[in-house]
Amino acid sequence: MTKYILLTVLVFVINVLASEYSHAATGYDPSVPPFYMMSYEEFGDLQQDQKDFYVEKFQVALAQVPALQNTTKKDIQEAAEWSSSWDRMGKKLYEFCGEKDSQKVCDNISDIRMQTFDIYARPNPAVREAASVANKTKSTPKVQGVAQPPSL
Amino acid sequence: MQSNFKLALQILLMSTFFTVSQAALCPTNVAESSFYNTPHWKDYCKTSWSKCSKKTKDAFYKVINDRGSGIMPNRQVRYYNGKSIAQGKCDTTFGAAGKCMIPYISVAADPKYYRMGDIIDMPSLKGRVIMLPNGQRMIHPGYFIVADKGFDIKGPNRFDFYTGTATPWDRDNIFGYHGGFKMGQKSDCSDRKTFAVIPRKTPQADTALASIENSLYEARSTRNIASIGFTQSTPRKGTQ
Repeated sequence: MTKYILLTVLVFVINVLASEYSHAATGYDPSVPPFYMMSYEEFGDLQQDQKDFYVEKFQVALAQVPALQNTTKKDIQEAAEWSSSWDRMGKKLYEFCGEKDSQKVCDNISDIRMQTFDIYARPNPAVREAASVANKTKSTPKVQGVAQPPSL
Repeated sequence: MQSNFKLALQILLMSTFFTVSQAALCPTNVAESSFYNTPHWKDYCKTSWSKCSKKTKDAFYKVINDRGSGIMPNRQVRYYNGKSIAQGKCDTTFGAAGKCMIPYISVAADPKYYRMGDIIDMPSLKGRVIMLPNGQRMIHPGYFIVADKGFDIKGPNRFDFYTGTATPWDRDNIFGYHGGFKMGQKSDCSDRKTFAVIPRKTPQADTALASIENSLYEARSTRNIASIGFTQSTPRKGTQ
């Protein structure tokens, strides 16, 4: 009887250690940098246009991650509904980014997160200037001598 | 020989200058702070928008271009890129996280080090009375929510605090030039700006969010409460 109890305790301890070890091996913790992708909560908070932008770019970038290369936009959108699916994707990406020679791809993926935030953030002066020029061009007043389309 | 020596000296001086300029100003647990606001059309057009001169409107657009966004008539937010979105239940503007910015609560940080929704705990602010841009008084909970980013907000202790429509010169702006808790000097590393980080999705973050909601409720900023959105108390889908 004592043997069984000891065996059960031993199995329990091994299981606990194994789960700890596997967690340490993947090292995946979405609350600690580096932040390669949006967290489940971050994605959920985004405005719709930010979400569309992120899904579009993220799906293209994932083609370079072997474990996630067949991920479709629909898969990402569905994962955004379930934190466990989102975290599973995060874990695979984190594992890939831990490998040698993956830095360039992973930097690109983290840039997509930044670019998504940039849609509503204060950009650097060069970007603002370019946007300002583009706005002026868009709203250029009527030019004399050039036929204008009839107003509806 | 002499020119080589001069060149080496110049390189040494330049690299020293670069190292010094890149070095952190404050210890890692003290905020290198600044603050920013969202311009409101009423601060530029004293009458109605339609009666406002082109020159005034252009000046307002220039400020929008500088700050990133501004509040337009009919509860619209206009961004530097010409894009406009409806404010809805939000009284201010939307930050990089896509959520409504809350004056004296929302903060811009470097997303390389922070998740949007992380909490910054600054105990020295707790209990301070803040006059909100809508005229209500709020007792500050001592917490901030990371909700935005900025092009020059780089590093783990660099923060840009949001003051709503309150300008730096407003007497009621506690972080401003006349305020009792100045945040404008990045190099001011005083103890009052000591902070700790509470990651989102932790029990401590839930407590902090409840405290923020309580402060806002007491200040009757119900619109902001409705759009705070970072609350974690509801369980996430798929984690049951």
